[in-house]
Amino acid sequence: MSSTNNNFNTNNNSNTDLDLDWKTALNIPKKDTRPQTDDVLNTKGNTFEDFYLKRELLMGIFEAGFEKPSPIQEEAIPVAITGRDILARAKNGTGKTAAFVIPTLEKVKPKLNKIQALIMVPTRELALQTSQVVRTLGKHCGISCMVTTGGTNLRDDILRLNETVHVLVGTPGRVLDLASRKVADLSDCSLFIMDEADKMLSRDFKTIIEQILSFLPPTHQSLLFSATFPLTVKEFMVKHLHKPYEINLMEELTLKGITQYYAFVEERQKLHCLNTLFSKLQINQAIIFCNSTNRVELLAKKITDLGYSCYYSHARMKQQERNKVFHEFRQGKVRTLVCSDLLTRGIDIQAVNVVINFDFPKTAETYLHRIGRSGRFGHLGLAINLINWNDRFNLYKIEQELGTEIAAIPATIDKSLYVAEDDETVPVPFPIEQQSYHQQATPQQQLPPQQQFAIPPQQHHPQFMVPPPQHHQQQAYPPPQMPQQQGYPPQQEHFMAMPPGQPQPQF
Amino acid sequence: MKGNFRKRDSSTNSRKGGNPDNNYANGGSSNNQNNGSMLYENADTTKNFNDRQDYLLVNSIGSNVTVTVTSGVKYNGLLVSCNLESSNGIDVVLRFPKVVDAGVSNSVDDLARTLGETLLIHGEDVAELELKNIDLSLDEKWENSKLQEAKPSRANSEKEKVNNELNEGGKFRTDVDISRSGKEIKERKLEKWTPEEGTERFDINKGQALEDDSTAWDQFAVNEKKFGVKSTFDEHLYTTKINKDDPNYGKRLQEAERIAKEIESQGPSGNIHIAEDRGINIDDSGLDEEDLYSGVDRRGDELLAALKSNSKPNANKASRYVPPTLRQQPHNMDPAIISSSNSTNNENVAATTVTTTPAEAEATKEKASQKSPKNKKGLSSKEAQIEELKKFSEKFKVPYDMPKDMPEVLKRSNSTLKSNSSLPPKPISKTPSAKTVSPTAQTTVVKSESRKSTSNMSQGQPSAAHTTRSSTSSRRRNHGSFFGAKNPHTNDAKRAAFGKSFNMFIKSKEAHDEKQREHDASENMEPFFIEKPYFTAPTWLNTIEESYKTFFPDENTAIQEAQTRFQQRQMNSMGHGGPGMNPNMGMNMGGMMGFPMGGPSASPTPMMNGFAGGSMGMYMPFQPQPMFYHPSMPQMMPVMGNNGAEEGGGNISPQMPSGFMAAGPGAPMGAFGYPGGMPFQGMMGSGPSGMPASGSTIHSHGHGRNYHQNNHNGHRNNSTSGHK
Repeated sequence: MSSTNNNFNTNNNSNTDLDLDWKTALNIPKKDTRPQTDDVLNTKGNTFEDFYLKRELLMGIFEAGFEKPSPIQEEAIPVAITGRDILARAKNGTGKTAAFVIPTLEKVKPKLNKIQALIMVPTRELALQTSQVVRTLGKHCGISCMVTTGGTNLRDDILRLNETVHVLVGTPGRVLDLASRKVADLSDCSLFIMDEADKMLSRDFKTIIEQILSFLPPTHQSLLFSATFPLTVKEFMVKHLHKPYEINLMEELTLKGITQYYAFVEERQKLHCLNTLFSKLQINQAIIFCNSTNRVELLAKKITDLGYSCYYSHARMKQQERNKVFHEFRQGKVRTLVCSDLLTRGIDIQAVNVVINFDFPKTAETYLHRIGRSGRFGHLGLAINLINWNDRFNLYKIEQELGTEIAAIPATIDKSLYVAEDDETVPVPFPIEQQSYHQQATPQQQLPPQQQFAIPPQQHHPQFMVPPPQHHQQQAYPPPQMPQQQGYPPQQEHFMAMPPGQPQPQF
Repeated sequence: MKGNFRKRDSSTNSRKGGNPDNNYANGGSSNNQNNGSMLYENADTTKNFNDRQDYLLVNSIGSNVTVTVTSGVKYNGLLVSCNLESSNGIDVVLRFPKVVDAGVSNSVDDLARTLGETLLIHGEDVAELELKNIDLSLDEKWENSKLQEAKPSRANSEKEKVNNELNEGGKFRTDVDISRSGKEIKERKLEKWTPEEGTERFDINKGQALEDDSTAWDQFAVNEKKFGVKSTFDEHLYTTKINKDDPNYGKRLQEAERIAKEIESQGPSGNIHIAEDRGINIDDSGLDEEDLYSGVDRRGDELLAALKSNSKPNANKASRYVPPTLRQQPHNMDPAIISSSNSTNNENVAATTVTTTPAEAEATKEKASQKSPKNKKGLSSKEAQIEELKKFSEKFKVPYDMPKDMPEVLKRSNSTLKSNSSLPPKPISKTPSAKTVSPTAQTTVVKSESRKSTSNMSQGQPSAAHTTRSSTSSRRRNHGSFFGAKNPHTNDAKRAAFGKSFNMFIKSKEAHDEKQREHDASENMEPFFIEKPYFTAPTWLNTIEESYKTFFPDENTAIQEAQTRFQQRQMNSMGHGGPGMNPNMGMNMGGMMGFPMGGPSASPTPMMNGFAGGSMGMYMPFQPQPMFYHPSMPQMMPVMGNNGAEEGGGNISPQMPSGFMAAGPGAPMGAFGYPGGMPFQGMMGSGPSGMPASGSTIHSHGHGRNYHQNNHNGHRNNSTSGHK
């Protein structure tokens, strides 16, 4: 904490002239005006400045559109900065990622050319997304963040590790391979972070994790985050955590902003029902979950046949294709994503307001994470479950485990439950990228990624200009009041923390 | 409520490790209550009573109690404290005591005047303690109030809440812990979704099912063509760049290439996620993506899970074990997936189980809900059981013919479920049929077991015709005969081969025969070995290593045993005259078969060691021809083992050479000198000093269930003298 203070003070002293207006010089994106729930608003009222973060980090935070810490950030950031182990649970989409990324960026020393933080996640897409958050928040910090997951070229990753890497984000299998060959040197990695910790500590991952831990220095700080803990992780806590500070901000499991319905259908009626939903709902972006890869592909094809743009993703696809799908959907290029449980956890797309369980999941935590893809950061969303005869007991079971009752779908669904009045402010992860598409000028590969964020705020939502006009009519969902764009702006980790009407933080 | 006081015997615990017999006696005498009806109690019972009493007392602290002292005076007051450790009775402290009944001599007023604010009554004075209105739900209430406190606390003050959490000792809360405070969710009738008439007409017959298209499609091409979506992914938006300008780039590339090859040439290493990240396609057909990326495997036990690691984690029925052979069965997979991968025909069967008229739905709903508690939780285990039972029924051969009237009984039972109960548990297992009443189970049976359940299928067919009655009629099943009129059709040849190939006795005999043929007559004395079929010893009670000494009685009982043995020997020889050793032989073999690798030696080849240590190795010096166990031996084993030594002589098998054990060079003649006819437990019962080493080794290999049983039988017989 003291070093933080010094750092901050140093900045104050040396840049006195900039001090007054460093904030005004920031490129702060447009405020997300959608209503939010207590899940993210119920804070003690701290600001990010209260944490005495370094100036560069604060700049990254504000430029990302953050205004106020969410409850989990408020709890976790100060404790994490003091160096204590943390075991935290907070609901889906309430800012957990930033809650561990911010202290990470605060603690990593840019001048030390070593891997200083390791972030483990269960899926490759989540690794990409987490890395992107690190890079966005830390873009002024001079910290380099690398992703290493399976499915990508291993040689490239080995070469990348020749360069400076401060933060390594990855999936356990690849990280273990690199660490055990000493390609990734974790001997100075004093920060070990697990997102979706319950999954990471489930049996299939746990052995890998414990092996990776053996390459870390004996005294390291561990931060464990998840929205669900269906099983106790006591054993791991006792073995690997030192006096963990437990944070539990959940008195209920489900998000306040999400309205859940079921539609009890015959298996062969599902597509019909889905089509009806498409025509009646005002969908901004939708994620549809199926239980097998085969069904994912079939359903995606059906949806394109019905005249809606639709991508699909599952684990049996090539990683390049998976990345493409993930990236484009986050950018709002397509309206619908059909996927398996590969994208159930952690994926953050702010523009998603409807999640449809075309097939009902087996476990409560899967259900919870799936429906948590909508209603991100306290916003409103809809979760619709297509239930067949065989699913009904599972429905009761999951209702019981979650302590929530799912109602039958009404003939009409109140728009105020899930439709935002103004979608235009919903942020997307890579605003400049779309600008460049619009201009059709620069090949992406030549753009230095760090520069891509340095764009004026007024150019933030160019996706509304993207689509070729001749495709608009095909693309649009039936509700006529829907804007005719090709996609809607998704977004990055809760970049719009500010509820409408809330005053700007004081400085 | 009223309670009796029992003087607490503080030595109860210390005596726990002692001889149970002593404990038994002392436990009874430890009651200072001279109640005529008081039963003798052992330490455990006493402790349980004490615990209950303590619980009541603790819960009644702060409430009104009435104490009667030995003089007959009754006091009423708030129970403040009581001393349970007092040497005689329970010391009681009352607050604000009042005299309720002054007893014989005193007047109420006189007594009341002497009372202060607090009254201490010594244990010896307390004759009766009456606890009224004990609220035993207090614990729950406290927890609930705690929960309610926790709720508003968040709104009030974050800090307070955090403190609460910390004060709770860092109690880790799982998902269910959190949701438990919520309302109870009941099963209920689900409202059926009906397509709206007025809306867009969706072609029911065209393009509405997911399974009619199997051609691959390029999502990027289609979306670009139809909707103008262009893909623009660049990995450098997410990760670092490779510095190709580095002077050492070439060298580094080579090095990277080498390491990459090294890593990628490694095997899958048994972990699906490592394999996945190494780009190895291992067979993960048992795992869906929920298991891999989202669900948390609920099979808690690490060891069990490791044993099952190759099979699909059944996260659905978390804690329940599904036998590996059943995991791939359709009923353990997602019904939706089945319907899309199966033929349309099958899907119709499944789909029409959802009834279409509301009334019908109501009826089925009710039926379902009647069974709900069981169904919901134990669906898969139930189905697993059904599978197991089916398999068992296929294999199971009754040693006797079915009574002639049985088929009639079975036929009759088809009509009603009740008649089932009158059926003896005979070859036709009724359990499966009773279980499949559950609609879900029924449909899966139709799908997966169509071969076996022909009658079931024939009933399932009408339901494909979309009649509303069909689902109910298909649910009303032939409860009496699971397989319908036809017996399950099995591949007899295969089964026979199975039975033969896995029977170690047959196999060993074959192997031996072959060798004998090879070596001709000159070498036909070759030892006969039975190979040990598997390694891991089950950790049942009787395979746990124990010192051989525990099998020997102490000196006192040894003499008793000797006498009993004498009786037994007499009876054996009276009853069967002949070789008393044979039953023991049989039991030994039974032990081997049940637990081939058991035995205190815990050596990897205990049987062989056992035999070798006995300097015999199944090699029969006095019997020129090698000994074989008749294939029927396995079936005999349990009988012999269960019946124990007394009847064992009745099972003399002609293949068993008489006097085999006794004639062995190292066979113990027994410390008590009953040669020849000495029964099994006699050998075991001989004193520690009297047991020759070779003898004990022989026993060690047979150290299985039967061995123990015999040993125990022996003890019981000896101590009770109740032998015949």
